[in-house]
Amino acid sequence: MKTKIYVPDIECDSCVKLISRKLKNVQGISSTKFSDDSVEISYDDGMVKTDHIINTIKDAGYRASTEPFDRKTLGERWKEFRELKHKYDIERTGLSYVVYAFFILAAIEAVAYFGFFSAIPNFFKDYGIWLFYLNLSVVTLGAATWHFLAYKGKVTCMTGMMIGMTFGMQAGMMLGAVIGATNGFFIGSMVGMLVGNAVGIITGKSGGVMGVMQGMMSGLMGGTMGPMISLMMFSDHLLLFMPFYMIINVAILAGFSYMMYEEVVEGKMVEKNPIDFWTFISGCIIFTAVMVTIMILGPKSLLFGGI
Amino acid sequence: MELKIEGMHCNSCVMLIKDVLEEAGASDVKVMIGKASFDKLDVKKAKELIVAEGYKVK
Repeated sequence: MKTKIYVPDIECDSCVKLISRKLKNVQGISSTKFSDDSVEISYDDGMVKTDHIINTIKDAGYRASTEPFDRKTLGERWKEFRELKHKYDIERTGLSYVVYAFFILAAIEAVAYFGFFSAIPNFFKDYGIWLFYLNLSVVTLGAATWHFLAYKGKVTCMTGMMIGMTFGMQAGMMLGAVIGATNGFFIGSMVGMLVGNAVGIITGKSGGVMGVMQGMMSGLMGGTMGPMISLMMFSDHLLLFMPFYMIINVAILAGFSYMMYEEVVEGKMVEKNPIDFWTFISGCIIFTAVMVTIMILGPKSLLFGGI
Repeated sequence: MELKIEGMHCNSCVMLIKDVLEEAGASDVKVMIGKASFDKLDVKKAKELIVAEGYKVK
């Protein structure tokens, strides 16, 4: 008897070898033929059932089914998100963390303003809007990282590269643009590049060496491009440009979390182990404090009155 | 025992080598990209098995 089992997570030769090894140990299977996203199996149905073959592939960490894996449309996903609260508990928690963290950071900065920052001439004019964008960058990057770390799923090569690339690029682009706008190209690039690389390496590691490389390259690229955008647009409607820029960056992070769920979580038995709120908010506060210190005390380009 | 392995690039490589070593009878198998540690398996045999899967062992 022949059956076709869909295995959409097959991405490389090692995946084929691993699944082949697992299937070799199943008695009753006479041959296997792999294609891009499926495996055709000849077997003796008196000795083995299709369900057992599917479970063997699933045990190796891959999705498997006799039916093709149709992806849900955005509309279907949204409907499910509203109706199946338990299924999306991690995502709901993450969204609430974004809101709480944003307001907590804003509250701490408001206290700091009346305590210290108001003594700095033109503080609100020079830094006000950039603190808003900094908070937005920190909480959205932090929440996307939190969401990614909450699931202990198997990350394939391709997804790992996408993870490293997205985090490296977005961290560099968002933070680089903010620090570049307050301090200039040098310190903006240094912060964007170093943070982008660090985030890219840490997250890209999930996909192996390729993910790390992708994370580093994207951190380098995003970290230097972010401040470049701010500086190049400084005398050309930068403040009008920034809301659009930030909305698109946040949308990319939201899209990343959506993709991560589709590729790593949906249809798989994935362990959930989310970081608690106090660890999350502590990380956001410490990181924001370092960024604000750099913004205020860090070197500034001549354009910003530096020396 | 610890071996350094070249040619690993993803989690599937990690799982494949772990599977190969465990099936050969190794215990306490720990595999990361670039290296594998294990007990109760002859090093020469382990090298042969890993090389047979297309990796280089130092």
